[in-house]
Amino acid sequence: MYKGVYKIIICTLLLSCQEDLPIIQGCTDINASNWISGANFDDGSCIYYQTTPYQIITPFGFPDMIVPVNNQLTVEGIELGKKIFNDPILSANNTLSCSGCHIKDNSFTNNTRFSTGIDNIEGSRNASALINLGWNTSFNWDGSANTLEEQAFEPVTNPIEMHDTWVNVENKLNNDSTYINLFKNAFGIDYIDSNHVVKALAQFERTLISVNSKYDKWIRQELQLNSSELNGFAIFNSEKGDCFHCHGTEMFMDNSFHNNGLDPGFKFNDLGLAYVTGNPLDNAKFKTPTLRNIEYSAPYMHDGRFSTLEEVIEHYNSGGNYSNTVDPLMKKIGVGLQLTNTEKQDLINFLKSLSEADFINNL
Amino acid sequence: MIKNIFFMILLALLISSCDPNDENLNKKILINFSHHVDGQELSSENMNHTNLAGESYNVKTLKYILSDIRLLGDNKTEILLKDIHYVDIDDASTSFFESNLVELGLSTSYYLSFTFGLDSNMNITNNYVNESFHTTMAWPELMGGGYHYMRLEGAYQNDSTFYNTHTGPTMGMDYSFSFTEGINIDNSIENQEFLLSMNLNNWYQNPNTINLADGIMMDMPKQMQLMNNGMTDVFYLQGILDK
Repeated sequence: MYKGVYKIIICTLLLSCQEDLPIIQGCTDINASNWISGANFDDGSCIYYQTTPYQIITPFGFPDMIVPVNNQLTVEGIELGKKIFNDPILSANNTLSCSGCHIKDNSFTNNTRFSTGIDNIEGSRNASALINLGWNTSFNWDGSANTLEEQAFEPVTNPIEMHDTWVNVENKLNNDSTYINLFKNAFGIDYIDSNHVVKALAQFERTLISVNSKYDKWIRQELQLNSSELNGFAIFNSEKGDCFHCHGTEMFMDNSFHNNGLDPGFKFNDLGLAYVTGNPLDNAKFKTPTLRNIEYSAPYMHDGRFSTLEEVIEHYNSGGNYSNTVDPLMKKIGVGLQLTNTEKQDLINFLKSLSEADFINNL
Repeated sequence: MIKNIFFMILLALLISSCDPNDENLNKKILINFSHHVDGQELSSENMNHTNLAGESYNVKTLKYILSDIRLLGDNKTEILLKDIHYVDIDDASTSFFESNLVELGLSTSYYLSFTFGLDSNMNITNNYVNESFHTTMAWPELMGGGYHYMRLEGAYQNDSTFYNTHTGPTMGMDYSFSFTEGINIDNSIENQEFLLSMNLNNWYQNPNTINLADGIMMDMPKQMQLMNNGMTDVFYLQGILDK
């Protein structure tokens, strides 16, 4: 009798001293191709078909890329995304593809101030350059999308862009035997839906990486910048030019939003971030773009108001305009940087050292 | 009888084999961060604040880094509460952090200590690429490299004149500083909450009266003055909220 009671007590004590098992996330389905034997929490990542994993090598000075657990990169997914990106099938009249506005030769932006949709209606913002997007924490000039997948949903149904419906797009894709096979190979699905279309697009966009400019080669000590570029680099990274506070690090952007003094006063044509947050203190703040490949991505600013880098530099050199949300980093409103002509040219020459010809030629 | 004694010994062994810190397993410390100007709430719009130099100003940006945050006991015990904590007044999730007190030993008195900024061993360019502050606090290699300790920005005198009080490792010099202050840890309380306050005006006074101006990142004497002011009385632990 006592023996039994003691055994129960001992077992209870043993169990009570045991630490909680650590949670190991992953695929817990033994039938899936990516089953993890030690996983005890299913994170929805199971796949039941064979794909080829695609590895992003983190560039020097960059964080780890943000890749959703449920949309890991595969060779098949990226190839599919590239095909869709260049296919006008996403637009209502089959005339406009993503690449129609995000032109490869322009670092995947548009060389006109605004883009024109399928109904010949012009938008009000310059198409964003698609470069190093996997390190962005929000998307669009106003930050209205939190992921690339979320962003890719919008242009298809936007009435001034592709003006299509996702039901229609799904029907078109499911009537195309090539796409049926490609989606089957990439995602293991029999019916193509919008979620997998944006997943494929996002996978492709994450591979649009540019980190092999003249500047990068200089950092790697493979070549030397000339004296003008070096002087521009010094101005860029000094309080004189003060470019680095918004365009710092190897990414040349800060994943943040600023009002850089483009417009005076309190009424703005475009509220930018405030459209998303509803906060008047965010009026006229726009996402900082990367300066990599800036030479190729004219015109500049959210509304493409500046045609050349010279105009951009002149904006900062003259100090910009005051409004109640202008960033305090614009320290000399109305006065500006007061760079000499030589210094301005040096700064531009440095910015051009961020260009990677292979990025636009070889993709 | 012998069996009973055997089982009693076994029981005692099992009980004693449990983690000796079990009693501390659930103990937590919560550090909240607050900011004010001589008791005034921070104002981002109106020029509600005035420094010792007589300049009126507001505060639009305040971001800073604390590192090596420790709880020290007079019995030589130390707990690393957090390696690095980044505070951004625009991001509420950075206004506090919580830490377990598992290793807390019994002392008669305790101290909270931290480094304001990152010391020269930690403050290296690209050392924290995966931290949220990497892009906003980076300090150019040409100015010494690493990360800003603090970015305090706003307007002064009038709406369109801006100041940037940026502290960091100018020309590689280490202007980070240590803070240590007594903290009333009560071992009988499970969750303890403290408020670490920053009085922004004290960056500009005591012992050095500093005018608001731009362009101090490369100004080594001013960095030194700000460091000395910071060490004097910018931070203080405020109150204890027992839970």
